[in-house]
Amino acid sequence: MLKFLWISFWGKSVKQRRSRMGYLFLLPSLFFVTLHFIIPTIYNIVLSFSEWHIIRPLEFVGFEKYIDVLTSDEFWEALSRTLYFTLLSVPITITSALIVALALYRIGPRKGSALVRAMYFAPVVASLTAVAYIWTWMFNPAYGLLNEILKFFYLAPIQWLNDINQVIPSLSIMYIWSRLGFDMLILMSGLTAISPDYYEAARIDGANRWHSFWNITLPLLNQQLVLVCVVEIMMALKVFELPYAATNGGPVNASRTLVMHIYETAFQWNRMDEAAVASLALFVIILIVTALQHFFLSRKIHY
Amino acid sequence: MIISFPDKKKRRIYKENFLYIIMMIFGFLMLVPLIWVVLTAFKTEPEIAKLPITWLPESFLNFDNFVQMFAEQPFGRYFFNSITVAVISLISSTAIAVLAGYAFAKIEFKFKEFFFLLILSVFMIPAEVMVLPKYLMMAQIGWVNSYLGLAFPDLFTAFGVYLFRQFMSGIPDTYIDAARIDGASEIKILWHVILPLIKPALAAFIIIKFMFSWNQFLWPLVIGQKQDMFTVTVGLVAFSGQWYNQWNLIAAATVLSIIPMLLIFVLLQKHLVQGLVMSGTKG
Repeated sequence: MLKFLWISFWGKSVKQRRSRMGYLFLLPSLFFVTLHFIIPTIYNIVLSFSEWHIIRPLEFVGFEKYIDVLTSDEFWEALSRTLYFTLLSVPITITSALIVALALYRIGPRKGSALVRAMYFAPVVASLTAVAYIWTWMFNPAYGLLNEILKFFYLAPIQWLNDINQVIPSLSIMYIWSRLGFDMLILMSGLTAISPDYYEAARIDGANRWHSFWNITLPLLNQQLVLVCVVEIMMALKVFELPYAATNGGPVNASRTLVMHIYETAFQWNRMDEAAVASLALFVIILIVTALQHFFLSRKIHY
Repeated sequence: MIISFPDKKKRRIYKENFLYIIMMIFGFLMLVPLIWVVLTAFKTEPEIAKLPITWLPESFLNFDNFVQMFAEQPFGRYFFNSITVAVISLISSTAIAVLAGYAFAKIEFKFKEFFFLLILSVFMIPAEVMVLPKYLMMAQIGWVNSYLGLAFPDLFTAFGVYLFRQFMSGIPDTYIDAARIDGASEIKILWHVILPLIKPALAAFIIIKFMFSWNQFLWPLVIGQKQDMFTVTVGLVAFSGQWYNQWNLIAAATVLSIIPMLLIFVLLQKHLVQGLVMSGTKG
């Protein structure tokens, strides 16, 4: 009997047994996918349709919380600030990373080139909280390095993080600085994978540098560019550490981003239900943006 | 053509050298904020408030800021917490990812593609949108303010599964078939045949994972509410909140929080870069 159960579980043939092993090896991963993503997603959706109390159980209230959140100015302001930050940061990060990658590729391997690459990459290893403090000190209106440099060139000092209109661009500068190295690295790995034969062939055909960049480099770099775009947009949309540590959302909420809004709603105001709606909104936005990018940017290129 | 070939080549070399110098200058500018914070960490309070600002601290042996930092807040404990969380999540996520990666790369079973897509799609969801329900789950099972709670979202990484699958797919089947014919179990094959072959991927994964774990902020902020459960990032923010405007102290704490990653970066740069590139070049 026991032997029968054993065989029916493990399978008779070696092949069957092996495929059972496959499932077994996969089991921990699937367990955590359920625990980390499937259950929380369902929980979040349930929460968004409920009234939340610390002690009492959840109470179903339909779309009430959605209406609360979607009619509140705070949510829309946080969202529009986050989008502004993303639109400001991502294109500059990727463009400058591409320029640096192309330049370093052009220089090619030579004495010290690894060190130069490391210079651009070094900020990546710092946590965003550390980045926030490094730059808050740089941005300090009285004793900061940046205003000192402006003074050197006889330019008027800037209030940076203390000004309602300059705070988001200032945070963008931090973000660009800390993300540039990562994007550069990915783009460089794409560049080195392009066979020099293509450029040689194009040169023989009489193409100039601009033509070969536009018709060879960019299309063959497509995969890395899409990846960098997806990652950067996602990172920018969920920006939290930078405003939290550098400005705490200030001045006058001018740098309160969406994730900060979610954090405060949930953990400072104890409104878990509304925070769940806002989380879901962020989730959907990220899904749509990622899907759109895959749809528009991912092209299979055959040469 | 008026310009003869050697001149053109010479001009190209000049241009490349010029570009190299430009890139070095900009590269140095990238480092300025880091250099500036390190210099600030060695300055005294009157020094940071001096105008016009001074570049170098009066003494590089002025460790007062670091001493005060440890006296004010238990940074030793924060470091211990960060390392503990990193180690727990490293062991768990590496083991789970290696198993799954092997299954996807080298074992045939039904619905393999479906499961792989499932795990890949999870890869695309940022953890931030799941913080709230995960926190409530932790609260219900009483894992708030515990190491397991801190490590919870990091116990598994879909990225690892993907990375190891890619790497193991490159191992020739003949190696494994030979072991299978000898009667070795799949676990034995994984341990004795596969693991020695995937060392570069393991090194890369461990470093990347350590970096993500070390630099995390939102989750430890939410889950480690008591001071003795703060990680380094959370402790840094708490300390800076306490010593607002004392930039010499904040700079010291910032520098110290980066040092472990900076060491890894300097010593194991090759693996770190390799890991990031591997994480970036997914098909």
